[in-house]
Amino acid sequence: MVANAIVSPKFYTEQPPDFAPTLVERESAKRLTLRLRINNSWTIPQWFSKSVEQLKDLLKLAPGWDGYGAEPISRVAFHNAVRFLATFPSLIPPPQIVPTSEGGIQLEWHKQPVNVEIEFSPDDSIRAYYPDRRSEPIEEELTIDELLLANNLVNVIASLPLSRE
Amino acid sequence: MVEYGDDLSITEKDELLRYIYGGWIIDDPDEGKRVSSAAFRDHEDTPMSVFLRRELADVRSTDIYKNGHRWVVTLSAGRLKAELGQRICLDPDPNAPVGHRYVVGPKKSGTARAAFTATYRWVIAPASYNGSRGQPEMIDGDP
Repeated sequence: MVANAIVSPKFYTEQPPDFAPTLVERESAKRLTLRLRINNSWTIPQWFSKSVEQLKDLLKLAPGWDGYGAEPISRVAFHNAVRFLATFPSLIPPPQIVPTSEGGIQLEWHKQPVNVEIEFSPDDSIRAYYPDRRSEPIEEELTIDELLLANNLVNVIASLPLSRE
Repeated sequence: MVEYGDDLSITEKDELLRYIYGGWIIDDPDEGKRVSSAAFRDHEDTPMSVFLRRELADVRSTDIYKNGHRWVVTLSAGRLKAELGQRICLDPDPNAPVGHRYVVGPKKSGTARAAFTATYRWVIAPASYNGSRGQPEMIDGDP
C-alpha cells in the first residue's frame, strides 16, 4: 500500500545539507520575529513554519505550566530545535513537539516499533534516542553542530511511514 | 540537598497517579494519542510527583486536576520499584497535598524513557485514544 510505503532512507545521505543554519531573533512587545539563514538551494519541509509556530508558543509558557513547578522554556533549547529542523530535507515527517519540565524541548517521532526522541536542554546539551539498523537502541549526547550532521539519525526519521504533512 | 525517605507503606499493588499536562499528549499512529516520555521526568530541584491513589477520595479531587490537568495515568508502584529501579518517597513538606509522593530514581536514559512510556495505563484518557493499551476508566475530550 502506498500509504504504508517506507521512504528510502538513502536520499539524505546522498544529499546532506552543506550549511549550518543561523537564527537571529527580534522581539518586540507584540511579536517575536525570526530570521533564519539557510542555503538558497535548500528546500525546507512544508510543515516547517507550523512547527516553528508551535515552538514559539512554548516560549509563552509561564513558570509552573505543567502543574508541578516547571521552568519556562529556554531560548537556547528553542534556537537549537529550530536550527535542527531547518536542516531537514522536504520529505521528512513533521515532529511531535513537547516541552520538558526543566525548560527544554523534545522532538519525537513514533511508529511502532520505532521511537525517536531528541531532547534539547536549557544548558545547550542535546540527547538523541533512536534505533540503529538492527533495531538496537542508540543513546547519544551531541552538540548542536554534531546534531546538524547526524545523518544516521535523520535517515531513521526519514524511513518512518508517517504523514509528511 | 533534600533527603527523601522511602514510603514503607507502599505495596506492589499500589497505584500512583500522574496528572498529565495537555502538551505532553501527542498524536500517535498506533494509539491515537499517547503520553510523551517528557511527562515522566524529574524537575530541576525535585523528583517526579505522583499521587497515591488509595489516599485520594477521588481521582478528580486533587488541586492539580481542578487546575486543568484533567488527563490522568496510573503507574504501578510494584513495577516502578522492581523493574525501573525507582523509589517511592514521602514528601517531607508538612503542607504537601494529600497523597503526594515523589518517584526518586534515574529517568533520562533511553531504557528509563521506554520503560515509563510502556508502563502507564490511562485513567482519564483523551477522546482520540483508541483503547490499544486498555480501556480507560473515563474519557475527557482532547488537549
